[in-house]
Amino acid sequence: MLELPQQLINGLWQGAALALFAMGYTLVFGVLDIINLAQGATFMWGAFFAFICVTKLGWSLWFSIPVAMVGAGLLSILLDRLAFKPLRSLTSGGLVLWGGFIVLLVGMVGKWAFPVKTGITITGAAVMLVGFVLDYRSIRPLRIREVPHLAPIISSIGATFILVSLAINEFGAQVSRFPANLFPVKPYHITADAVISPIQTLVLILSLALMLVLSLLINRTQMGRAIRAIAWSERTSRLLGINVDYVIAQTFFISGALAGAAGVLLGLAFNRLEPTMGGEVELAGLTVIIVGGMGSIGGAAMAAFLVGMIRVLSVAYIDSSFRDAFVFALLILVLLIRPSGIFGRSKAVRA
Amino acid sequence: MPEFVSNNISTINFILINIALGLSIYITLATGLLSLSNAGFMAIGAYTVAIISTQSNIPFSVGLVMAIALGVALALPIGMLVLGLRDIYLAIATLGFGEIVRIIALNGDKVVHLFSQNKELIIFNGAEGITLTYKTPTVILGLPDTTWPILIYVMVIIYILATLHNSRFGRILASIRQDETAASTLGVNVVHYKLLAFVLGSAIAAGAGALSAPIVRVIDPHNYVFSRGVDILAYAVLGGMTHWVGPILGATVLTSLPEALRFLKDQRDIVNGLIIMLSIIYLPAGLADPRIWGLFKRLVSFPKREQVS
Repeated sequence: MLELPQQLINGLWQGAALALFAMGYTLVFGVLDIINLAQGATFMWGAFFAFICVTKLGWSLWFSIPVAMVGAGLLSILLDRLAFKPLRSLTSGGLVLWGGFIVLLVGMVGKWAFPVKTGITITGAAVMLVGFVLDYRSIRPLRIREVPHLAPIISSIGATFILVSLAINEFGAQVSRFPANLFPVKPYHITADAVISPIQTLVLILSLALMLVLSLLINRTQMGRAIRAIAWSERTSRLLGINVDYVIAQTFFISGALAGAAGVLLGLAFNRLEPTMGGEVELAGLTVIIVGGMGSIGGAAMAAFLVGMIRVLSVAYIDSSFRDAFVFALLILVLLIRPSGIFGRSKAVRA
Repeated sequence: MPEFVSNNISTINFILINIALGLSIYITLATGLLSLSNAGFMAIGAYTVAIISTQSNIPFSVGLVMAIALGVALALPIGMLVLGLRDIYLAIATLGFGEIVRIIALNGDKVVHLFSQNKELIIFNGAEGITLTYKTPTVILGLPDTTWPILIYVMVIIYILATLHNSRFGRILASIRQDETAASTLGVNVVHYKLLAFVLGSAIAAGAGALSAPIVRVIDPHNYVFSRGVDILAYAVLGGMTHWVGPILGATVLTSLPEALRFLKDQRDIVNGLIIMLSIIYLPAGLADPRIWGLFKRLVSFPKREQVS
C-alpha cells in the first residue's frame, strides 16, 4: 500500500488521459445529441494504430502518436457515416458505402488465399471510397429521418462489436506490448517517496496540451464557432450557410483523434494493449461525461480527474476488484441526485 | 425422441431461453425504455438457482420461483430509482446496475467473509463460478425433462404478452413509447406503467436465467457481461420492437444462424454487430414489420397471377 502523495500523482495522470477520452465523447453529444458508444473501440484502435506504426513499420514514437490520432479520427468519421449518418438521412451514396464495407469485412475476415484476400479487401475499400464521396456530394437524400432516441445507441453498440472483433482477428485476443526500450524507466522524484515515471509525465503533459488545444479550437476559431452554432441549433446553422455535414465530420474527427490519443497514451503507460481495452475506459468515460454534465467539455475535464482519483484511491485503499463498482456507484448517485451533472450547466451554453 | 430433436437439443434449449430473454427486453422496449439490465437480472436468476442447489436441498421448482421473486424484489426499488431518467441516462444507469451485479458475483465471497464467521465458506467461487452436478435428463413425451420447464415458461410468457398486446395495458405501453407527454396528458400514469413494464421484463429475465442454469451448468460472471446484454438486445432489434412476434423471430434466427452457418462461428460478434446495425438502419421495424409481411405475401402470390394470365 503506497503513500497518499503517490496515489494522487497516479490519479492525476490517469485522470488526464481519461479527460481526453471523455472530452471527445461529450463533444459529439453536445453537437448531435447522440452517445457514441463506439468511442471505446476508437480508443482501442488508436492504441493499435500506434502499435502497428512502432512495431511493424519501425517508425519513431513521436511520429507514430500523431499518425495514430489521425487514423483514429478518420475511423471516427467513417463510423459516423456508417452508424449515425444513415439514421439522419439515407442517401444512395450511403448504401454504396455500406456495400463496400461488407465486402471489406468479408475480405478481412474470411480465410481466403493471399491474392484473393487482398483483392477483395481493396475492392471493398475502393467501393467504400466511392460511396463516401457520393454520400458527401449528395444534394438530396433519399429520405430525411427523425432519429428515434434509441437508434444511435443501438447502432453504435453494433459498431463496437464489429471493431473489437476486427481487432481480435488482426492482433489476437491476447495482450500486445510495445517494445520495452521505448522509454527510460528511471522515475523522477517529486517528494522523497512520490515518483512519476517519464512515460507518465508524457501522458500528463500531452493530455494537458491537447486539452488546451481543444479549448482554443472550440472557443477561438471559426470551426469552433460553427461547432457551437450547430450544438445550439442545427436548423439555424444550416440557414446561416454553415456546411453542417462538413462540421459534423470535423467534430467526429476531433472526437476520434482525442480518443486515439488517449488510447496511445494509456496503452503506453500500462504497456498493455488488448482488443477489449475500450470497454473499461468506455464505462469510466460514460461516468465522466455524466458527472461532468452531458455536452460540457470543461465539466468533462474536471470530472475526469475526479473519476481518475476515485479509481486509483479505491484500488490503493480498498480492493482492486471493487474499483469499477465505486465508479458505477458514483455514476448512479449522480444520475439520481443531479442528472445534469455536478459541473453541468443548462443546455444552452454547452459545447 | 426424434433424431432431429436429440441431435439439436442444446440449440433448441438455447433458442427457447433466448426467446424468453428477447421477450424480457421487448416489454421494456415496447414502452420506449432502453434498459440494459437484463443480463444482470439473468445473472441474479442463475446465481439464485445455482446457490440454492449447491448449498441446500430445495428442489429446482422452488428455486425458480425464488429466483423470479428475487428479480421482482430487486427490480421494484431499482425501477423506482432509475425510471425517472430519460432514454440515454436510463440506458447508462441500467448498464451500471448490470455491471454492479457482475462485480458482486465476482467478489461475492469477499462480501460474505465480511459478515460470516466461516472464512473458508465459498459460495460464489469468484471468476470460476459455480458448477452444478450433471444429471442425465430423463425423456418425457419426446423431450428431456430439462427442456420441458423452459418450453412451458416460454409458452406462458407468450400467452401473457399476447393477451396484453391487445389489452388496455398493451395500448398504454405503446402510447408511452410513441409519445410520453401525450400519454400523460391523456391521464396515463406513465411512471406506474413504466415500472410495471420494467418489473415484468426483469422477472422474465430472472426466470430465464434460472432456467438456463441446469443447461449451462457452469454459472460464472463471464456469462453475464455487457456483450450478453447486447446479444439480448439484438434479438429484439432484429425481430422488431413493436410486436411480441419480433423477439421470437429475432432470437430464433440469431441463435440458429451460427449453428446453420458453422463457418461463421468464429465471427459471431461481427455478424451480430452487422445484423444490429443493418437492421436498425435499414429495417427499423424489424423482421416483424407488417410491410415485410405484405411484401412476402406479394412475392409468394406472384407466380399464381402469371398462371392466370
